[in-house]
Amino acid sequence: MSGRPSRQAARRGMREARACVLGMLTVTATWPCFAGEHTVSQSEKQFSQEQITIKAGDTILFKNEDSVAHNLFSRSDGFKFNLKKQEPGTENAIPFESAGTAEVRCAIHPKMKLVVTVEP
Amino acid sequence: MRASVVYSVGALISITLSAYSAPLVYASDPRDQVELKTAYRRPSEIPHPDENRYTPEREKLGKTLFFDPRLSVSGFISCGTCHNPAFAWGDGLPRAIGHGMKTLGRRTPTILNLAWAPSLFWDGRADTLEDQALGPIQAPGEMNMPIGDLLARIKSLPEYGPLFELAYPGEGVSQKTIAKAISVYERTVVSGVSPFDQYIAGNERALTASQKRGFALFNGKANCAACHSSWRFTDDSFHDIGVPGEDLGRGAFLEIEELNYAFKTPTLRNVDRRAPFMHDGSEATLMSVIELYDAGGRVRRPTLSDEIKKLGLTSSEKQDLVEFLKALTSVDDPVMVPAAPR
Repeated sequence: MSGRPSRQAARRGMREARACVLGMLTVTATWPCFAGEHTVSQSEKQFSQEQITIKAGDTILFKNEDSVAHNLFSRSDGFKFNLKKQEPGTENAIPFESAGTAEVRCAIHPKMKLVVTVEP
Repeated sequence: MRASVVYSVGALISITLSAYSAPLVYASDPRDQVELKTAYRRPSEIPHPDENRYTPEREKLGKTLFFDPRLSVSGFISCGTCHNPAFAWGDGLPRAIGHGMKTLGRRTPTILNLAWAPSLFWDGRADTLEDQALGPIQAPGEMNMPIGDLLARIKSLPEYGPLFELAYPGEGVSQKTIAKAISVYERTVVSGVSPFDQYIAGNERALTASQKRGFALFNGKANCAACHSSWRFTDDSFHDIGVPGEDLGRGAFLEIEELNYAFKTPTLRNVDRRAPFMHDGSEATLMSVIELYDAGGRVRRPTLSDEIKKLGLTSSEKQDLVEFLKALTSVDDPVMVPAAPR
C-alpha cells in the first residue's frame, strides 16, 4: 500500500483547502478588527513608559520584570481595576474597552504612574 | 535647615536615577563601593514644580503662614506646633495632639525633605504638597479651621496683604495661594549635611568602625535598603511591616485589601531626633525598631510585606545598625520664627 494520497483524495483536499481559505476571508471581512495588545513592563519600581495611547478594545499586558511585587490599580472613572499583588516574573492583561483617559498606578510604589489615553 | 543651596542639573539627574536604583549589597570591591556611595549622594537642587516656582517672597509668606497659629480655629495651633523644628520637624509625641487637646490616631510625620516626596500623609492620600497643605488646617481633629473662616481671618490682618501681593502678584488671598506658599516653604525644609554625607563625599573618617559595619548591614543582611533607599533613605513605598494595631492605613484610603496595615516608608534623616517611631509611636527607641525588623514584625498577617523576614541579627549587629542611623543626623541651623502679621 502506497503512502501517497490518491488523485481523488488530493482533489478533495484542494477543495477543502479552498473552502477553508474562502471561509477565513469571509470571517475576516465581517469580523471587527482584532484588538491590539500592548506591553508595559515594570522594572526598578518604574513603568517602562509614563504614557501610552491605545484604541478602545485594546489590551495592555502588564509585565512585572522587577525584583519586588507591585499592585497596579486604577481609580479613573470607567477604568477601575485592581490587579492585586503581582509577583515578580508574572504578567496580567487588562482590557481598555472604551475611550477616555485612565491613570494606572502602583499602590505600593507611588512614583509609578502611567497615563493611558484610549482613543475611540 | 538649608533653605537655599546652589545646585547643578547634572547632580540632580544622578540623584533622580539613584533614587530608583535597586538596593545594593555592600561589597569589598572598590568599584561596587563607589556605586553604592553614588546611590546615596545628596542632590544639589531642590525641585520646585513649574506651576509654583520658588521665590524668596513665596518662601517668606509660606514660612509666616506655617508658624502662624491663627490658621487654626482656636488660634492656638500652627503647622509648626506639630511640625516643630526643635524635634526634627515632628513633635516628639507617640501620637499627635490636635484641636481641643485630643490625641489623634497617628504620629506626626516629619516634613524633612518633602520636596522629593511623590505622596504625602502616612497613607499617601495627597500627591503634592499643594494638595496636602490645607488638609490638616481644615481637619476637625487637627486645626479645625473651615476654609471660609481661614480666608476671612487672614484678610482681617492687613499686614498679610503685601506679603501675598509680593509672593503671588494679582492672585490675592485664596486657599490656592495659601496652599502654594506653605508648599514653597516646606520644600525648603531639607536636612543638612550629616557625618554620613561627609563619608559619602569621601571622608572615610566621618564614620566610626561601628557605623561602617552598620552601613554594610543596612545594605546587606538587614535588608533596610530594600525600602529605605536613596539619599533620603526612603523609596516612599507603602508596606505592612508587622506593627500591631487596627489602623488599616493605605488599604483604607485606596480600598485595596492587599494594602491593609501599610504605611509610608519614612525618611531616616535625623531619625535619632524623632523618637518615638512608627506611624503610631509604638516603638520607643531605635533599638526597639531594629528588634521589630529582626523578629520579622511583631504581628504576622497575610498583608505582611515580602521584605519583612526574620533577620537573625546578633546583638552587636543591632548596635552597629543603631550607630549607623545616628550618623544620618545633621546639625542644622536654628529656625527663626517670623513675626506674625497684625
